[in-house]
Amino acid sequence: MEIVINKITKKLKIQIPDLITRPIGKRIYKYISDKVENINQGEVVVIDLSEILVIDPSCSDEIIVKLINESRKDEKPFFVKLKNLSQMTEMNLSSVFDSYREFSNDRIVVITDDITSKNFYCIGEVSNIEHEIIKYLRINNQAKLSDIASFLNKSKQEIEEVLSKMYGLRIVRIDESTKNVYSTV
Amino acid sequence: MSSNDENVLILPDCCKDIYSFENIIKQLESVYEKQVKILDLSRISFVEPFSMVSLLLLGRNYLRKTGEKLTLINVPLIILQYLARMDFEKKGIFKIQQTLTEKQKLKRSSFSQKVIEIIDIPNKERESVKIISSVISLFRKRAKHILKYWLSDQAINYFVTVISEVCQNVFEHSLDSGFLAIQTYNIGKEHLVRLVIVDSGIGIEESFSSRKDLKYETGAELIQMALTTPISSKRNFGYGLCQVNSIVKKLNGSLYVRSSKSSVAMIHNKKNKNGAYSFFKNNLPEFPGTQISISLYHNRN
Repeated sequence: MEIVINKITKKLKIQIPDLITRPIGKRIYKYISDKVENINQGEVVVIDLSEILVIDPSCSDEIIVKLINESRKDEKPFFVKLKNLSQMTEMNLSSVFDSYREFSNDRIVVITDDITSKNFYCIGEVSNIEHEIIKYLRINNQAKLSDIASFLNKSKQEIEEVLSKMYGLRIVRIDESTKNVYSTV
Repeated sequence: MSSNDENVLILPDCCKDIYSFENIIKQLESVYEKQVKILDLSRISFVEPFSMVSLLLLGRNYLRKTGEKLTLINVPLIILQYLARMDFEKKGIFKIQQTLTEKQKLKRSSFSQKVIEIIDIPNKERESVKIISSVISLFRKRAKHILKYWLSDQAINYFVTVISEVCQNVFEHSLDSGFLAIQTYNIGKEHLVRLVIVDSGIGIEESFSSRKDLKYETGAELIQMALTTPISSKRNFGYGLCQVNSIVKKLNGSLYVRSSKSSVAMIHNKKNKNGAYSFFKNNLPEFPGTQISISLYHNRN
């Protein structure tokens, strides 16, 4: 499912290129969550932020953080990916995620379609191994646990633990039937 | 500082920078004690934006407390022209006896778009969101003039974030309305842009009073905490002031926050081996609410 934010802002008569304030964020999130309610388990929701220059931290908290937290619920797991981010949006999101991590003992990470200013395909803190896995899956689209472990020269057990955490963060997908094949978001 | 007439207070020439306005705040107690009704501005040689909007707050507080407007007299022409240009008079908070002729008024041309005139930030969420959106829209239109010496897409977007986050605090936390103004001007050997957002609400310490888990000893310590850690009075985290400080650091500017009886200055453009110079003050004369000034500097040489 692709959600194009600038189309939502048109419908809601919200002026862009800036998405600012919590109240605006709440309005946009309400619209998105109504759409997302009917998605299938395991689906990827791509948020297209083209034409948006700034999403302030408050608005980011109300839209992106909420959506990611919703995706991480066990009842109906889904995945979130961002695309066409401006540099300022990336920066504000990054600082929101850093703060979240620092004060909640919990990481928040989101996959991006485009490479970020830090040369990653995600925003939020990831370990070196996680970063390598994200890159590997991006190139190969999907891979078995054994292939990933072999590529990283690590044991399957170690990589399985890492992949389990990444799945919890919703930055990697797992084939529900085999539980052994992982794919990019 | 009073003249022979006890109802008149001659203001000292203390509107030149954000710190010297403190000398005017110090006299507030005597304004009420001596039932001052008139402020004589004859000694004022320069008014910068923070002092201007703080003076507006002072007048509004007086109006709310006494039901009467303070009168401004002997305002030097150049100051009167500036205040008129910035819509100070239009706020209807002071009585100003002098008027400007059409010829004396400063023109609002494209060359004078280095300002955003004083704008009211309401304390109602819906209205405030509309105003903030329109301020940002206006800022974007004038950004190439306002940020002339610091111009880049990134600097403009940084300012948009700062304006949005600080203005939100007015309606979210202060429980009062406020004012915003922006101006680029020259002072000494520097070009300076100053963004000021002020309110006369409950102040930072009072807004955090329900957070019993936060440990701090002074108001300045709490302000510093709000600038450096993502604390919030209403929810688990708040990113606003922390991100604002982070942006001011990236822009190599300075940030001044005064709230009730405390103030913190973070001067990122002047660093020592430990980082930015920071100044903390407590036990200042009470001045309700929170007043924030963000400044960028550029050497004229």
